[in-house]
Amino acid sequence: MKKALNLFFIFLLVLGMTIVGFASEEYETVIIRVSSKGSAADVARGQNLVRAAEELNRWLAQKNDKRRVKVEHIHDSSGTDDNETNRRFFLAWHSGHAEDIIALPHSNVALYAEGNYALPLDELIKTSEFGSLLEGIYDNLWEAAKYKGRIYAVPQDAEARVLFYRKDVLAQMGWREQEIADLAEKIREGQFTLEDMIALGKQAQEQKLVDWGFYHRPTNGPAFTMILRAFGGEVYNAEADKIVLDKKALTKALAFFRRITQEEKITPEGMTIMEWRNLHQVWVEGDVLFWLGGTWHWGEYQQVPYYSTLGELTEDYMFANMGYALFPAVEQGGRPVTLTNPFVYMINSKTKHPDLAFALVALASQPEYNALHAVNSGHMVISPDAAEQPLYKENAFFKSVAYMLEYTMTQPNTPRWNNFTTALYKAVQAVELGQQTPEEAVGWMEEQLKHDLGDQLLILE
Amino acid sequence: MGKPTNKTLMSPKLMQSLRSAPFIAPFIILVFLFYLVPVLLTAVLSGTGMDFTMRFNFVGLKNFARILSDSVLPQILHNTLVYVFFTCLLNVGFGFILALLTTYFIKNENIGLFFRTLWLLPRMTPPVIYALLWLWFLDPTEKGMLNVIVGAFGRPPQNWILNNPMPTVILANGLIGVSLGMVIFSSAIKSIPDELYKAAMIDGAGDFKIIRHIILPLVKWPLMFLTVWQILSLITSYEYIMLITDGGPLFNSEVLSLYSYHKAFSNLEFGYGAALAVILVLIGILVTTFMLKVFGFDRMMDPSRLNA
Repeated sequence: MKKALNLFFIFLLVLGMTIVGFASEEYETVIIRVSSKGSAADVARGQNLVRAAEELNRWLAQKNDKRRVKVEHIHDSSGTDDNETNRRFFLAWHSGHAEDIIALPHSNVALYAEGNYALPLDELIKTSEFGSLLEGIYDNLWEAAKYKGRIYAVPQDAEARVLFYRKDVLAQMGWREQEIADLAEKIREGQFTLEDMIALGKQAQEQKLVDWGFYHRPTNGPAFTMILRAFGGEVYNAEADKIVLDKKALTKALAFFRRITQEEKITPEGMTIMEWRNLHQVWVEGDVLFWLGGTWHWGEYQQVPYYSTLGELTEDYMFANMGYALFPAVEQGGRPVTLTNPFVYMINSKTKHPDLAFALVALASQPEYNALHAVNSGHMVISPDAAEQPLYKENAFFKSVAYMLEYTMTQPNTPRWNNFTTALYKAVQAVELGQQTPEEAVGWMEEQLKHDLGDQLLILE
Repeated sequence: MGKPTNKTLMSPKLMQSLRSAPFIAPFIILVFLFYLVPVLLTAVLSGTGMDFTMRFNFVGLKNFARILSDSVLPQILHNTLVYVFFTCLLNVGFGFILALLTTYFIKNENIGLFFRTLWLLPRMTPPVIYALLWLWFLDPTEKGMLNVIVGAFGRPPQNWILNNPMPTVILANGLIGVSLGMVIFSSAIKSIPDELYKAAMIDGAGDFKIIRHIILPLVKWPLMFLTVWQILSLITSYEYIMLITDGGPLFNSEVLSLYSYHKAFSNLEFGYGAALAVILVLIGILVTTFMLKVFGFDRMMDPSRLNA
C-alpha cells in the first residue's frame, strides 16, 4: 500500500513538472493598444498595425523572443475634434492608462512633444532593426513630424484639400465636355480664379440647377487656414517661434466669407453649424456646385452611403459627375493652393514596450501596407516606394491628383496653434452669420489672441 | 435621565453631540469629500497656469487678472443672467401651474397622476437622448419636425437653433426642469386641508382668490426652496447647452459654467478654467445668501402653522 502511495506521489510530481515545463515554453502576450481616428474609410490607420503584428510575431519567433504582440485597436469615426481626443489621451496618460500608439493629424505633434506625452524617436530610428523601413518617407512629411528639430512621430499618410465641382451641373449650364475636362487645369494655371468660382456658383443657383453655389467644411479645420494663406496671409514666424496675426490678409479672407454668405448668398449663412452628414448628402445628390473637401472624401463617398437612393457611390459615377481641382487663385494668374494635414503615429512615452510599438509602426509604414490604406481611404502615400505599388500607381484618381503635391503646404507645429485656428473659425462664423464685419472680426481675433497667447503673438498691421 | 451627577465629566451638550456623531459622520465625510475638497482643489488650480502639460506652476492671481481683461466675459455673464432667470421662471412658474392643473383643477386622482407622469418622461430620458430629440425637432432642413409642421402652413424651413439659440436652450432646460417643481408643488397643494377651501368657498371666493389667498401663501416654503435650488443648479449646469448649441453660434448661448468647461477641457487651460469656476462658486454663495435672507429662511424652520 505504502509503495503504491509513493508511486502515486512520484507520478504527481512528474506530471506537475511536465506541466510547469510546458508552461515555461508558453509565450508572453504583449498587448499594444492603438487608437486612430478619421472617417469610417480610414480604419486601416490602425488595422495596418493589427496586420503588422502578424509580421512582427513571425520575426520574434525567429529571434527566439518569447514575446508575442497582440494589437487592440479602436477607431473613432464619430468626428470627435482633436481637442477632445487630446484631452482624453492626456488625462489617461497621467493615470498610466493611455494607449501605446495614437494616430493623429500632425498639427498635434507640438502639444505631445512639449507635454512629454510622445516618445522622441530619433534614437530608435537609428538603433532599431526596423528603423531602415522608414528611410523612404518624403522629407516634407518628416518635417511635419518634428518639433524643435526632434522627431516625435512617424508620418502615416497625406492628403490634399480639393475643390470638388459637379460636372453634371456644369453640363446642364451649357459647358462643353472639353471645357469641363479643362477646368482643373485652368485653375492650376490661375486662369479660373476665386471670383470666377463665386460667379459660376451664383449663376448655377440663379438657373435653379443647385440650391447652393459653394460649401466649405462646417467645423473647425485646416481649410480655413488654407484660405487665409491663399489670400497671402502669414500665420507663423518660425524664427521667433510665434503665431502671426496678419491683419490685412485676414480682413481680405474674412471679406470672402462675408461675400459668399451675406452678399452673393452662394453659401448658407449657417454653414458653420451644418451637420456633416447633411452636408455630404446635399453634395453627393448634386444640390451644390462647389464643395471644398479633400481627397479623402473620394474614398469616403465610395464607402459611406450618403446618397439617399444610390447609397455608396461607385468610382465610375464619381468620375462621371464630380471633378476636383486646387483651391483657385485669388487673382488672375495667381497661384492656386492646397494644404495637407498629414496623419502621424505617435508612441506613448510611458509605453512599457517602446521597441515593439516602434517595430509595429515601422512595419505598417512599408509600401504595401501604406498603399492599401491610401487607396481605400483617398489618402496619398508617404514614400516613393509606396507610390510605385501597383495598387496605387494604377489608380486613376491618385494619378490625377499627384500634381497637387507641388502646391501644398502644412500647418506649423507649435503647441498653441489650436488657439489660432479656434479664433479664426469663430471669426469666420461671426462674419458668415452677419454678426460682425470682417474688420470687427479681425479686431475681435486680435483681442482674443492677445488674451490667450500674450507675447507669443506677432501682429502684422 | 435625571440631572448630571458629579461623576459625569462631560457636559450633557457634549454628550449629546458625541452620541449623534456616528449618525452624522457619514454625511459630513461625504460633504467633505465630494463638495469641499473639489472646491478647494479648484481654488488651488486657479492659482496655477496649468495647461496641456498638466504641470502645477503657480502664477498667483494672474488668472483672475486675465478674467478682468477677457473681452467675451460681459456677453457670457449677460447670457448666464438671461438663462438662469428665464429657465428658473419656467421651472418654478410653469411647475406651479402644472401642479395647480393636476391637483386643484383636476380633482380625479388618477387623471392628475397620468398627466404628471407624462411630464416626468423627459426626466427618465438620458440627457443625450433628450438633447438629440431637440436637435431633431428643430433640425434646420425641411425634414426637421418643426419645419414639417410650419411647412404644412406653407412656410419655408427655418434655422431655429441658429436664429434663436438662447430661447432654445431655455426651453429645453425649462421643460425638463418643470417636473421637479410640479411634483413638489403638487404634494404641497395636496397637504392643504380641505376645510380651508370649503371655508373660502362659503365666503364666496372664486378660484383666483383661493389660489391667491390660500394656496400661494401655503406653498411659500416649497416655492422658496425650489427657487433657490433651481437658481443654484442652473448657474452651474451646462450639459443641455453643450449638447444642443455648445454655446454657439459664436458665444451667443455660452454661459459661465460652459465657458469654464470650454477653457479647461477644450483649450486645455485648466488653470484659467478653474479661476472661472471659482468665480462661479463665489456667485453661487452670494446668490444663496441673498435669497435665503430675502425669503427668511430661519422662519421656514419654525413649526408649521397649518397643523399647530
